[in-house]
Amino acid sequence: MASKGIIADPLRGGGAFDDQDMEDLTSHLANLPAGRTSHDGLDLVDHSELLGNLDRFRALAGDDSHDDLFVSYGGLGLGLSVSDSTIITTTNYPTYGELAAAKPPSYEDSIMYDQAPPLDMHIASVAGGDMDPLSAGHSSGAGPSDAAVAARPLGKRVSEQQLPPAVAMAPPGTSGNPSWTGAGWAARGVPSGASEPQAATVAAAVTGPGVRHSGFSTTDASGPSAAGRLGSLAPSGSAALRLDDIQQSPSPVAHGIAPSARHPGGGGGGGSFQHLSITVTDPVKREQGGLFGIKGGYVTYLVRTQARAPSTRPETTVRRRFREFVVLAQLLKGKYRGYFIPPRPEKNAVEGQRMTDGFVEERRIALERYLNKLAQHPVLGASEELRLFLEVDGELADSGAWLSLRPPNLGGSVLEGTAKFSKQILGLDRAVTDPVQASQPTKKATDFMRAIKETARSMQSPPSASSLPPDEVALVRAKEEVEALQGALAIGSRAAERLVNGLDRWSVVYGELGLVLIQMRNAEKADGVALAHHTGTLKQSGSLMHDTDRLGTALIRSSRIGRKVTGRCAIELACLHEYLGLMPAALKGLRARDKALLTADTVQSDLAGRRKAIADLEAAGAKVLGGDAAKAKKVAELNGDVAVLEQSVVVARARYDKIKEINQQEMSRLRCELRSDLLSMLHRYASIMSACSQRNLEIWLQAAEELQATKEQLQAAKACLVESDVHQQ
Amino acid sequence: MDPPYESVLQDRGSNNFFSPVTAVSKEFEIEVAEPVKQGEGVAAYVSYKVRTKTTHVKYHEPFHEVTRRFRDFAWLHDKLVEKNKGHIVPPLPEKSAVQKYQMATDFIEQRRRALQVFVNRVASHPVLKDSSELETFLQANEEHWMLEIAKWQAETSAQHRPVSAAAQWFKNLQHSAQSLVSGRADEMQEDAEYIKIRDYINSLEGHLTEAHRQAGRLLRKEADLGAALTEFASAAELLGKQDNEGPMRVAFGCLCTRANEVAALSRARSEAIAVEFAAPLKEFARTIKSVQVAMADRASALSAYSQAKSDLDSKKVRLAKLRGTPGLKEDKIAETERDVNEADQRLRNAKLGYETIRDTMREELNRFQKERAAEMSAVLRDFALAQARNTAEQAKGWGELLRDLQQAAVGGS
Repeated sequence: MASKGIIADPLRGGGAFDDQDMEDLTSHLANLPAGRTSHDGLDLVDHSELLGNLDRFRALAGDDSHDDLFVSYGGLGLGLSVSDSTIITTTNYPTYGELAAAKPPSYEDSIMYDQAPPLDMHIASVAGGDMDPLSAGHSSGAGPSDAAVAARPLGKRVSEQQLPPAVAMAPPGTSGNPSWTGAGWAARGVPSGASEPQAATVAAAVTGPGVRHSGFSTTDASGPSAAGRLGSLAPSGSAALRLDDIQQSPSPVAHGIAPSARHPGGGGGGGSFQHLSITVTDPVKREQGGLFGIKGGYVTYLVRTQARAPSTRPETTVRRRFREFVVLAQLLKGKYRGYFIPPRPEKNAVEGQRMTDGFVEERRIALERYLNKLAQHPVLGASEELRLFLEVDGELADSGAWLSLRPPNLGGSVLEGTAKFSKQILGLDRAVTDPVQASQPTKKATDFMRAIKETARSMQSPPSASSLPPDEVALVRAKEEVEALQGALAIGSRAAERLVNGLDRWSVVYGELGLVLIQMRNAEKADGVALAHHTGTLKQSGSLMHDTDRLGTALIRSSRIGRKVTGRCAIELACLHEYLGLMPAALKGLRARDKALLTADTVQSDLAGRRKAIADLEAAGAKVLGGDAAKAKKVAELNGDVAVLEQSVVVARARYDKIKEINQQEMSRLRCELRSDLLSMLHRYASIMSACSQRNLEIWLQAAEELQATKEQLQAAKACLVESDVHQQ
Repeated sequence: MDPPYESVLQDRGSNNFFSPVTAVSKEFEIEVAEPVKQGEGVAAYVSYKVRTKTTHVKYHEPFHEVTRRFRDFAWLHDKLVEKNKGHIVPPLPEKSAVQKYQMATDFIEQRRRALQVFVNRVASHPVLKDSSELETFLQANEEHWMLEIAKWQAETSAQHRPVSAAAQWFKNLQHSAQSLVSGRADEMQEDAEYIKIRDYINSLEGHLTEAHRQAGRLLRKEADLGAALTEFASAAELLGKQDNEGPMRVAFGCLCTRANEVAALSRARSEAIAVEFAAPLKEFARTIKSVQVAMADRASALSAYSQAKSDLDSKKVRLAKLRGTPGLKEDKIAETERDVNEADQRLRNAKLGYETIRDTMREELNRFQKERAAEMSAVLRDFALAQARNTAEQAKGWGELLRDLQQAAVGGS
């Protein structure tokens, strides 16, 4: 009588519902976090509980060892219309790390990444040019990747040869801008002549931090050094421009809010730039006797870096602790202004939680994703910071090369800043922004005068769209675009989380209903016999057992599918979450340009002010005969200031141009990557859901068949699919 | 014998679990329709039209239409339970004070369906269908009906519950005191088989109640999932609009369209589960309660039987004592003999009552089993079929999304 219940499952080859399944499900139900196991708890829609649950789903998806979900659907002879290729994308599903490290194959790949090799060169050369002074000492060592190593000499060569054009080619929008005329151009011309040899010497001379430091940090920096600085800044831009001219990217996506969209593919190749796969594994806890009996300690993680494709780069493994990740993030943040730097995983304020296994695992995943994100970035991925971080044995704090990357401490400490500020107020120290400072972001904590001036400047002249150069306008719009995107992503990410939660609960309830039916079956088997004997209805009892068993099994199988789908959707939709996380970084990058522009404008107006003062004094001097010595001294002082400021203006302008360049690249990279990532996310999501409903359809058709549904009924049930197939053909 | 009202479930229309029954062989076709809210506030109630089409010989006309309210259905139910000990009287839907107060439309519709099932089940029960109570319920005009109800209400208030409950308790106490005095435990016990059945039925109620509860959660989760998908669809559309150029806008537009389609499927599925799966499970659980009522009848019949027996025994003992006591008046003995005879008669009645219930229950349980198996089978099969239909539609929706996306990708490049 119950023999019907043991019909072999044609899809799995194995038996139908067995004890393993039962255990599986029961343990899943038991392992749900508190508040979710209770039936009633599930029904409360607690929004706060939902927030931040994605990580749990990631973890949930991580242990998904069954690969039988998306097996081919031959089972019931459904005419499937989904093409093979779409199924393949879901079968060999990459693990989380792989997912983060590589752009997974998708239909976008062939379109978006065709031009990857030249783009790599281009970006590497930008990076190489930018980092010349520092990387010169290391270039003989193993580079972060072959591409970077190969590209670096190219970048260098370009930087040495293309200097004059670099300046000549500087912003196309400048000529229309009144603030850029006259002195600006003149000042620009002066150092450019001297810059070529200077750049070379700087590049050659600066190998250690000390040298570089001393070369720049004196307050009355002379012209040549400023020019040198400019030289090291300018070529990267020029190299980029030159290479962009060569590349006519055939990307189908015509983009370019910026009118100077000469590097449309500039960001598109980022995804495949660094063929590195980084894994973070094996957290080891180090206990430390903390003060006052508080248990201290930290966790180190094993960071393993491999080249994705065969290459000369050896595999490296290092141990890092979270604090070192923090330093890495700080270094990158300080140095790569204008770039959209992937955000570092959050610190955790709660001391007690830091050592729990759950937290360590969460952080491990987050760190792995973080490093892979960095490695994917065209510039950051090739950065010396990341290379050292991944390669230096032992603690980073003990590595000289690492320490040398720390930024020069310009402007000193808060204390010095305070002292300087009081002098500046009294007029003892004339507040002139020197060229080295002009190339650095304003440090509000240490340079009060400059911060005040810039604030005042930003108050008095709100930039009107008409007075700005078109590429600047485009970037201002880009900021609005990013803000809108951030809003949309926030909504999307929240909706995705609700969706994943809904799926999770849905599958849990399916499983629980299935279990109830199975229990009913068991009760019928154990105790129903008495009633059946008493009333002579053994046949009915048997059919009850069979029916409840079949439906219960179907429900539980459907629940298992649901759980897998939940996990995979969580992984896919996490993409939204990630981009949401990147948006603040993008805004920060764009703000860096605003600040640089503000600095340049402030310096410019300072300069104009001093020139006016000189003119006034001289005009006064012309009238008053035999002007006194004090006046002459004042004019001389002002002239000195003007000289410094002229250089500062150049440096600040160059800095602004450079960041603008970076912003443009990063924006187009962001647009491209976002588009391609979201599209492939969407595609995979659709594949998952399609496969899921196909599998469920099989389950339910089978169940209906076992429950004695007629052939016509079965046909009718799947009629809509067959129709649409016919329609398709 | 085919279960007579299997057709309640099996001869229904394609979609509606409780749609009016249309089987030719049936004597009754009863429709409960047109729920209308009457009155306001606390005294508000819903009236229904009960339309009957019958071939039963007792009914003079083939068509009847009366207006009834929930209370009237309760009358029919209570009368049937009272007069048909040992029968499994079809259950009434729950009286829900809270929901009644709110009078939500879907609640009224749910109740209408449940009442229709109830009255059809009564009308297809082999014994209850011939009852005069059903006849009255289906035919009585307003005047006659109000009279019946008034009588019933007077009765129920006369044997007010607490009083009767206290009386019952007192009786039981007396009985157990008697058994204590006579120094025996109840020797009248149900046979082991019946006890097993009773325990099984009791456990079944738990299982079915749990199944119904899970089905209720299932339909809520299904609806939640639909809502989440809708939300996701519009979020996706918004996101797509961030892309000023084609690809994302098109692709996420496709997602939005298809996801909304699938979400609509989920919503429809949720409603269908409520009607086609949760409601029948609920009714199964209620039917178990009816079985338990019958079992309680049987238990009290047994208890009465047992009581009568011990009563007779003690009277017999007294008679023997009297007889053994010399010099007692003959009329005293005669009186006691009369008592013994009466007690014997009572015992015979009680025995007959118990045995009738026992035999009735055997039949009823047989019928219950057959119906249960058939109905459960139909409900589960239809659930699986509906799931299959639903997932097929979903698969279609997602498959079309995939095609849309591929086309968009091809078109875009």
